[in-house]
Amino acid sequence: MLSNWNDLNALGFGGASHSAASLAELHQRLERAMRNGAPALHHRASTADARWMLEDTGESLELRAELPGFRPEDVDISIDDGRLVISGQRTASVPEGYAVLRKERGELTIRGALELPCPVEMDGAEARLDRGVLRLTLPKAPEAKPKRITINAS
Amino acid sequence: MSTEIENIKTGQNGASNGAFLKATPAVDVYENADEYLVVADVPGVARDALELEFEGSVLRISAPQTQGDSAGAPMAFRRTFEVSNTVDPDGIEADFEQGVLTVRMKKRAAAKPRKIEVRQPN
Repeated sequence: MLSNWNDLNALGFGGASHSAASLAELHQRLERAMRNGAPALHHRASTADARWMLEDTGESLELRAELPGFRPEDVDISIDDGRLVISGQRTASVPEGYAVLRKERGELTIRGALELPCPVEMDGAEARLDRGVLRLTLPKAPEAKPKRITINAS
Repeated sequence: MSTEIENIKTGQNGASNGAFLKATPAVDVYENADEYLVVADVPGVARDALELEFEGSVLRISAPQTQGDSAGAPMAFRRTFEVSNTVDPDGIEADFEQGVLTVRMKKRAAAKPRKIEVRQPN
């Protein structure tokens, strides 16, 4: 399981909560969470929501989501005008001909929209679904990448 | 990490109490006449890191080590189930696909329901 998840709902990623805060406020919260390495906020959403986090690696923005049992075609990702929209669902089906003795694995959904905190290069965007974990890598546009500043000796 | 042994047939706590709040894998258990099916969500866990043990009548699913120390790395977990003695220890198979572990446990012949034919009177 994954640790140190950032509660993106609290950052305005969730459907219900993102209307209240202004965009500037969302950016501020996102930046603060990223600066802190993001473990501060815990996910309190119902278990039907997949856990995910967004990380700023300097060169790129990386989204990771726990999506066990999802096939690539079960997830839709789009980015339009700096807005990332993601949605997907896994049903909680019972294999045919079996009786249920224990059922903890529910329906699992991932759904949300987020204004990206910086411009990204769409051509380099890459998404992989590996062992039930989605990894979306969005390389930053050159102007958004961190710049090293050399300190001149006097 | 929980070391509690759970009964395979109890704890039908439904989807409202899944793994993600507890950072332990959510598990389904199904049964038909021939076998038990244990299905666990273990996203991000490497196949090599998964350990499955069956001893006596107890099935243990675990990933003993944390895999890497970066944020977002899977954590160690363990879940242990008492499966009664109806499982044939030689008839256990496991598949791992899309972060979901599926364990098939065949029942012993004696534990399968037997259909007894009522003979026609001659």
